[in-house]
Amino acid sequence: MMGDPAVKLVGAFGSAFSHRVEVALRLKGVACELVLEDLRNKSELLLAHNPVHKKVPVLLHGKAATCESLVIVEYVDEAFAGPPLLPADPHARAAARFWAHFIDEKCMKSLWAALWMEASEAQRTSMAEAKRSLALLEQQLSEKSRFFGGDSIGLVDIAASGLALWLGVMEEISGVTVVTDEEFPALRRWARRYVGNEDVKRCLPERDRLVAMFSECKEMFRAMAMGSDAETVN
Amino acid sequence: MAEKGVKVFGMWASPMAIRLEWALRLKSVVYEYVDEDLGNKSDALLRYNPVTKKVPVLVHDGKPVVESAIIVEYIDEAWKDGYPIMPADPYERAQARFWANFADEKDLNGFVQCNAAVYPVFTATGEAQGKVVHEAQQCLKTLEKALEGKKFFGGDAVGYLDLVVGWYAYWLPIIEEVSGASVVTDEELPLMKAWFDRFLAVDVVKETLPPRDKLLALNTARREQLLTA
Repeated sequence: MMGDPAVKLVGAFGSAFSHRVEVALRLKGVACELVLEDLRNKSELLLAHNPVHKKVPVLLHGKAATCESLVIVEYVDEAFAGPPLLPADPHARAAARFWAHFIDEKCMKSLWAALWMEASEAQRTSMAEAKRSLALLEQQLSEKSRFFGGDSIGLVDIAASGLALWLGVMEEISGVTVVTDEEFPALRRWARRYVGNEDVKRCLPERDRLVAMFSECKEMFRAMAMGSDAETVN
Repeated sequence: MAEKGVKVFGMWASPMAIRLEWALRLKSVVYEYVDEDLGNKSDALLRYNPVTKKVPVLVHDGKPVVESAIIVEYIDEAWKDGYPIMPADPYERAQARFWANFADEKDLNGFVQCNAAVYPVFTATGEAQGKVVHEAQQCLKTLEKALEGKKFFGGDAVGYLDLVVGWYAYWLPIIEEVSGASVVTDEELPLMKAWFDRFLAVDVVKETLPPRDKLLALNTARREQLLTA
């Protein structure tokens, strides 16, 4: 619409975090310009608008620069009209925020360690932790609802999107399997439904390209998991 | 018969639990405080928060809400006609949430954010203390930027971010006293220091702070324990 400030998303190819914002914007029907960063050579634009973390994604909307993927998703939900990404009821909103936060704090961290650490006591502990956390998340999916958000994609689905496409790719490349159909049937069903969604499909990187990218990054991920000081694909 | 009323499951020395009390009092909501023994958690707590089993938990008409920062937003939304805790503007809200994350969390790569930088000050000794204090100051200096030109993080009155980081105003000086470190000084963090004084003067804060000597004694003992472990 004429007069609406432009929306620009500073992201990176293959970033699950950039994807979160891209899919949120698409679900809200917000047109945006996508700027893809080379994370080994970050632009002035990125550094100027995220001086604290220097990471993608950053959403630029008029004069406003917003950082942190889940913070941006909530901003997109509040700043633009369109189908709500969070439920209306305060208790349900708090629950959605809890699970979105849980995914990042509990699931993603231990998953990362389980996938990339050398086989060791520490790796086995991370694996157990990852499975425990994912089992709790699995329980949030009921037979009736198509998504964590109910009939439509919401904050928790968006937060969990890394589990839908990226996890499979990383399992393939690392050779470590965490989420199987047997142990996590609801999560696997959800993942297939998520990546099959028309809106989501337009924001997902091609799987082959993702596999190629992560194959190249394998050694870096292994080093990061061992705790070394390396640049991140975030 | 549905359970009615508001309960806070907390612990008297917990800075995370006190956030709820501040928020509820700003909204003039009457609540019952249940002081948990964290070494022997009540059945009620475990029933209301089976996932993380932690305090604080807010129970509102029988329904639990967990994670203190999330609970503060819940309180703002559930009693939306009361004192406004979150800013009204979506961009300001995003800023408040961004800084709350910065203060509270370790990011996904384990890079240190405020709380994670502050905790080590508690136990660091000798030469290591200097480095740890410096890191904590760097984090707080970044956070301080959100205070520039304002009385409170929330503007003229306290808001969400004040409630999230407010615990520093009372607990940090205690950590400093117990560890002998000096973190928030007029030279290094003038805005933060001035905000500490203003925040501690706010009524709902004054009314709820645990007794200083008790908190000091607890933290002195805990530090002893950690250092000799």
